[in-house]
Amino acid sequence: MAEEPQERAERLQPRIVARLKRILDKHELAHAYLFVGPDGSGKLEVARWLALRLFCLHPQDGEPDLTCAECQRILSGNHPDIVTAAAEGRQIKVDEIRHLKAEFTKSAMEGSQKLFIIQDADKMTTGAANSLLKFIEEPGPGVYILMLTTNKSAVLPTIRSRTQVIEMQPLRRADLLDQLAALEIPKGQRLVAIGLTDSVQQVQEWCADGWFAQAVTGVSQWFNSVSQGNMLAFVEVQTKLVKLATDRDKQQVLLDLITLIWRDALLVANGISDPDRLHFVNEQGQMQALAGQYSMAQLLTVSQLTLEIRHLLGQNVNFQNIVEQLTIRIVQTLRAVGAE
Amino acid sequence: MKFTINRPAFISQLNNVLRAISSKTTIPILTGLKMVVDKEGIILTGSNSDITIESVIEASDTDYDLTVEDPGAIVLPARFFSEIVKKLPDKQVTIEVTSGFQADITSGTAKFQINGQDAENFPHLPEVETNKTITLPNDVLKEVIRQTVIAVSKQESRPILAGIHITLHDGLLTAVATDSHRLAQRKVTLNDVDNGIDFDVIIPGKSMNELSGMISDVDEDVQVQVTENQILFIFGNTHFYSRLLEGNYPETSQLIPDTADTTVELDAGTFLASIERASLLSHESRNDVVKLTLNPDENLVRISSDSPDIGTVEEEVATTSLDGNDLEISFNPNYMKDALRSFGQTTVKIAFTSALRPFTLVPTEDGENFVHLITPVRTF
Repeated sequence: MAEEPQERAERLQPRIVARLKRILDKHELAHAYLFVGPDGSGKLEVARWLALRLFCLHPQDGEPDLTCAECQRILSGNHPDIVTAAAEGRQIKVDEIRHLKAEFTKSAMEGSQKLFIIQDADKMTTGAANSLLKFIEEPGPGVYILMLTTNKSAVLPTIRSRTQVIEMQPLRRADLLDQLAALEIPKGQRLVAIGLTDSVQQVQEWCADGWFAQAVTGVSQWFNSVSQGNMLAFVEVQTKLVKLATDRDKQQVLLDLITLIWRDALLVANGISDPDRLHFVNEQGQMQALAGQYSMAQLLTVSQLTLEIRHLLGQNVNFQNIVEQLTIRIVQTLRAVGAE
Repeated sequence: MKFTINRPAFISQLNNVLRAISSKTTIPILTGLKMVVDKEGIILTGSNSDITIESVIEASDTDYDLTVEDPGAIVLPARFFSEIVKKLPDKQVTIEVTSGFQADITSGTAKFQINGQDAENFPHLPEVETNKTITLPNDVLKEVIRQTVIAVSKQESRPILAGIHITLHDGLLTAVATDSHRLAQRKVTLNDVDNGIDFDVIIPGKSMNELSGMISDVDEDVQVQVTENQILFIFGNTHFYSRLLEGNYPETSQLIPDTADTTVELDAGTFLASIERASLLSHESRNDVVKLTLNPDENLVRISSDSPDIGTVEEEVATTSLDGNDLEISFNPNYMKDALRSFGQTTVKIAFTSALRPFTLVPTEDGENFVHLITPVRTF
């Protein structure tokens, strides 16, 4: 994996890198950008590339040379005029925000330009984000701010309106699958995994001790029960899913899996059987059966229910409660109209 | 790189530079100490990105007993390096960079080998133009800092107020600090300054405090140079760089009233003692204010305060002169205490306009150059 960062950025987001190059050539770089894209879509790589490009002493053909003193310092994280902040756990800590604010008011240490890279911009508290507004609105000359987020709608609208939004392009499905295949991840899991993330590394982590396989099986079994309106699904939450949800990240993945499987169900019920668009291919038969069993409105309601659960976890609702409540509500939805 | 130096003398310079180095830093290389060695001597550098301290050890200075065998540069982990050097057995220490970024430290029978980093990765300091230098007498600079730094804002909401605004125009140096409740302004006329040198900078209060501590240890006058994004103070063999705050400092010159309805002159020391007594009770009450009653007809100045739970205090204040209209005014005693302390033992003239307008304190002898402004508290 000894790939140079600027090559990674090029490979992941060729069009965005090309666009930034054009902007730089015309000296029209805006003072604040919001990079939006899922994990693994290369947001940080693009930000790093831009940092190298801005500070590099001898850029060649719009590319940083990676060998000059400035590039070397950026690569080793030692450049004093590049300030980065990232969330630790669920939020960007108060100390980080304080540091950012202090840096915003101070002059650059060496040259005349400063670059701020704020990762997980959606993980700032409202108070923290508001306190940064003033700086983002009118930073001094030579100050550039890059904010990175996976979830554009979770970034305060006041922040969004002060930045130029650049949406990372989703990676090509086939490329991703090839990369995962190279890591010897079974086909069934590969297809599910790409529905959750674009990050190869992330998938590798999930699969490390067979956790992901269990999670996919667990969610599929739960789906089979719950889609039959069978209250046994409620028991399965306790016996299967809760055991898998050992930490917060895993809880989130499980919830995403639930959302994903119902999304597939909705697609299949709408007559889409193109395997390229589905993730839980093994459950396709079961899903097709659902179309005959329930009305489209019911499936749509269920799908909507599953979209709320991630939000609930964000509000610190207990994982087991979320899934149990969801189970009851799905069963109610499916049975209610089924009885008519 | 290889050199040998007298250890105790080296340690004293090391301690100087260590003042700037903090273990809490976001830039990993700043936990290190940079050493640049050439035939002329050694330059030690430490930085926390806000301030940077450079110490120059000249080879010609016999105190250091310095022999340079090989020039070179390296960054070594500051904390370990200083601990090691302090605990070494012999009077001399030899530091040699062998292969890559590894340094051998030998003294007597002890030998350490520690890993360093490339000196190229250390932040570069701005190039300084030597023809734009002003010289400030050591005690004047210390006084300017002491008198203004108290009014620097500690709140984060307006970061620009966390600095001292220093301007030089036509040979007049003006330093202003305010936290929007009080303001301190000090002016110094510099004699032999080229008229071409003007600057307008905002220096973080923290940096100035640190600088003040460092210049107290030396007697030399301080040379000041301003670059685009840093200010440099040179004293003795030490270079002290501070980053600047960016932004526009609020216009403060119009805040200071030039007319007064009631004026009083009194001794700063005794008035300070009175305020301290009154504040014993005011601190206990919810809004922490003391009231000053001025009655020029009866030549009476009374200070009072009360706390509903504890009781009341009243004290007559001795004055040397009192003129103008009757006035009752309330203010936060802490601001008054800080202000009076910055005057030292002297008589001060306090000028009031009305109970709700800010009032000024100036020394009676030199009313032009130092002004402290305090905003009163509305109590009715």
